[in-house]
Amino acid sequence: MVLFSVVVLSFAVTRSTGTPLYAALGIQVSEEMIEARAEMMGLNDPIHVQFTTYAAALLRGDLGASRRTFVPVAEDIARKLPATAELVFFSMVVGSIWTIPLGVRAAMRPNGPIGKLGEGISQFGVTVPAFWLGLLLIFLLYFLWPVFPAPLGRLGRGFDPPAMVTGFYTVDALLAGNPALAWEALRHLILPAVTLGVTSSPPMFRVTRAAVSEVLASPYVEAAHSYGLSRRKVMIRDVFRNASPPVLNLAAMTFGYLIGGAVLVEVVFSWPGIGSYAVWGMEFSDYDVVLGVVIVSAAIYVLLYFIVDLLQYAMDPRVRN
Amino acid sequence: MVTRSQTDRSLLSRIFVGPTKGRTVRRSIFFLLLLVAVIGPWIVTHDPIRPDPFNTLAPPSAEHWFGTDRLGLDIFSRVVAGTRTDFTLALIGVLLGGGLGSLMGAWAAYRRGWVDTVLLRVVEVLQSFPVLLLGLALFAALGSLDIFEPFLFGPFDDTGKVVLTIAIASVNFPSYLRQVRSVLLPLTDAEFVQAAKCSGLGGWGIVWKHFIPNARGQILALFALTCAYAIQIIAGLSFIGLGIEPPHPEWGAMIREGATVIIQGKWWASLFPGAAIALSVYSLTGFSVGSDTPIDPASPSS
Amino acid sequence: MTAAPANGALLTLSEIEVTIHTATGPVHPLQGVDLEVYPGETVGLVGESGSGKTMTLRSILRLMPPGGAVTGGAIEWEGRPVLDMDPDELQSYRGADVAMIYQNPVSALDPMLKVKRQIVDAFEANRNEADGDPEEFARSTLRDLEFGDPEAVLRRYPHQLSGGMAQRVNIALALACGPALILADEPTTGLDMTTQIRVLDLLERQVSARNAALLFISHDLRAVARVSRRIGIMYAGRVVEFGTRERILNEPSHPYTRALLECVDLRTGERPRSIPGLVPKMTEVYELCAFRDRCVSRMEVCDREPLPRCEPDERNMLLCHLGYGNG
Ligand SMILES: Nc1ncnc2c1ncn2[C@@H]1O[C@H](COP(=O)(O)OP(=O)(O)OP(=O)(O)O)[C@@H](O)[C@H]1O
Ligand SMILES: [Mg+2]
Repeated sequence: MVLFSVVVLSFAVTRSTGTPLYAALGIQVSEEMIEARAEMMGLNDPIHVQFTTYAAALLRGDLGASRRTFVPVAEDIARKLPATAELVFFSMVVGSIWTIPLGVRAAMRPNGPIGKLGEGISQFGVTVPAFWLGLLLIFLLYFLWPVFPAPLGRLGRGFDPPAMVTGFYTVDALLAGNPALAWEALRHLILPAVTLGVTSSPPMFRVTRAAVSEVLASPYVEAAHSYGLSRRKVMIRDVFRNASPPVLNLAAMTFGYLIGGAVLVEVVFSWPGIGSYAVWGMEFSDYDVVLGVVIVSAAIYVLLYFIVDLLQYAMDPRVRN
Repeated sequence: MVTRSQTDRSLLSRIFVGPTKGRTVRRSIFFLLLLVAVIGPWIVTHDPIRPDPFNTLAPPSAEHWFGTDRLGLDIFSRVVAGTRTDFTLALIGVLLGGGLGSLMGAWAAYRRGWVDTVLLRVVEVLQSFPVLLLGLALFAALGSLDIFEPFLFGPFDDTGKVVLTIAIASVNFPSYLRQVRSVLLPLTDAEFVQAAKCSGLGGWGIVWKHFIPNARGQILALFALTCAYAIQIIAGLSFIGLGIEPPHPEWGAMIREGATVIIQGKWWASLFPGAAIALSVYSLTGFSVGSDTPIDPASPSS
Repeated sequence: MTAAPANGALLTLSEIEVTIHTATGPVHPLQGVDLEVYPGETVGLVGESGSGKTMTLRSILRLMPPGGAVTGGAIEWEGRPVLDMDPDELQSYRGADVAMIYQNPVSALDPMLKVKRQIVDAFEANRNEADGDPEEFARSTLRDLEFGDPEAVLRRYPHQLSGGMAQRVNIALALACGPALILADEPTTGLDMTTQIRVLDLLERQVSARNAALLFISHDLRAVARVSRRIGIMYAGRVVEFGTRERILNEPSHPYTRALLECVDLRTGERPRSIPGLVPKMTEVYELCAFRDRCVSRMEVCDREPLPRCEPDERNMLLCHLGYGNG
């Protein structure tokens, strides 16, 4: 239902502007060539016919074709999605690595140094625009002090991508028994993942801290202590269990946010994912490309929420009844 | 089965919350920036859009405090001038989306029933787009239109700015609608509302006179946060080349300019506008209320 | 350290003070609580809402709310100073020696865990194999607590229990720890009259069957009188009078105790009137008598000197300038 509306809306929005095919074909082509092309792509049909065609194609998994390269959009997205997925996944890892332990610690000792550190990182991650942080990191860690490779894609020159299994170069390289390649892929991944991870995770820190401190102050945790259960046991049995639904919920939101945020970071690091693909499409008014990316990301977004709801359902007995 | 509406999708309230401490500092910075936005044209040292072809990519110096960019534009002057661009667009976009969202939220709370359902659906759909991609889609749709031409005036001197404002408004509309609706929902049956109904006040009259004032606190609390977010979205969209065309001074577009030369070590072209964004966002968090930082200097049971 | 208790008391609180730091400033819910519990006896503690009853129990277990700490006095368990225990000692003292039944039975249960898991965990944390099978214990205890189908209850989550059921599950949890002293914090509030009496009787029976002592709290003097041999009266963070049930009910010495008794009809439990005046604010520390503003027998000395402590024998105690035998 939501997805359908998303499709309608995006379609209406992107098609409402006529057919700037010339932008795709170049200036010097003749009127007839544009007409012919437009006819071929069905762009002269009335808008509802276009939509029906598009929707019917969409149901078959066909997102149209790029008006510039004529490569099917679905094919391009399928090829580029793993790059974005790998980036988003590692950003999530970077985000969780600091937010969860620091958030828990900050809840246990609100005024301790760890809590302050977490608050500081959060404040930083919130205020700093992701693309700008990426540029600063490139300047510091590539130009001034070349620890990381040039910010140009997933692998350096002279490296071939590993055989596709998961689409994650780091994982695929390891599966192919090529640790050097995995290392290369990882080195390219670190800066963009840190950039995206740091700027997207502050809410996770805050929610972890809030959830854990709320649970810690709850009567049932006090009661659990009063029965003489060990601190460790109470932490695992009661605190983590009860604090995890909100954290999980937020993690899903963060995933959604990352899909959007990836657009900027992909551009900064010339990361060949769907974000830079959309921006590329935008530059050439290649609307099927933009539309395709928008629909796919919205679909992923909606799917994520569905999964979270399922998890919530599985985890929390109160939701089940 | 669980429904999706159980999960609150507004990241916003979680993002821009700062600690309660040091608010005064942040608020002072904000008013300073506001001042800069207003008196910008009088404090710039150079014309922010007149290039100096003999002085391109000059590092910061006494003449050019923040250096110059590829075209030889003075970065300090552009950062100062950009304050007005970014603040104005953020403000107008948030006012538009937030105002409409608040009204609709109040209306949904007042009418409930199908009005509420439909509005919630709309919000849900709008929120299914990652923010930047929504912006992208809007630009794809409206960016090359010339229908706005006759209406361009004041801060909206080109189509990109109009679309940018629309994008900000569409991002804010759902957040305000949801927030206001959830605050006001319990009021629908309140006595004073019944009384107002009896006194013959119309639906919108009640919404305006009785509902909106009750959500004022929530709306204001959201305002600073959404403005901060709006500045980041504007800068982000301009950074990928949407919205503001280069000669116009805007922070995101400036960073885009600077990005091409940072690998050559010319850091100043992107550092200063980025710092301006960060500072603005930081200063706006000084207005956030209800920080979730626990205040008690306490250790848990021991 | 401290020698074994000369008088054989199980638990001794002397001059316990608690301070909680909150956003709006410090709160002093306990301002010198004195209390003794002997093995196997039932002691009742009565006081208005906010007088510090719950806080007293929490201080016994050293479980403080965020920002709270025991700032003065001493707590002894069988002669051992509780306030000096290290985390390990504390953990084995909680549950195995002293277990608590919480005031709000539903929120004291972990909402994510089934009843069975909670009882079994409490059992296993405090006992060893010699004490039998935890699940079997859970079943038989629930049966003792008059659950018709213990097995079904064990499979439930807390939100699936009614208030009375949750209360009895809390009792089972405390019993599962096998403590020598049970702290019961208003175990009957929120229940209807018949359930109250039933739960109270069940609790008393189970406690005495196990030879445990019971420290029973209520703002309802009638409920306390029903089960307790000795009764303490709390006011503004202190136990102002402490004595045998007969003494408290028949010849009360503290004007507050008298006022309380006048307010309650012990047979019907009705409260025909309440004590005039305001409940004192616990943001202040009261050096002088905190009740004097509401007291009918206020004397000039009450505004001048701190409270004297009359302790004619080790089972009676009074904090009042009037002293015993004035009535
Ligand atoms: N976490 C806390 N923060 C601040 N003050 C608290 C806190 N817990 C308790 N207090 C204060 O301590 C005082 C004693 O509270 P306590 O819970 O012991 O009262 P009580 O006698 O159990 O009352 P009731 O019959 O309502 O349960 C009250 O004035 C209360 O406001
Ligand atoms: Mg209490």
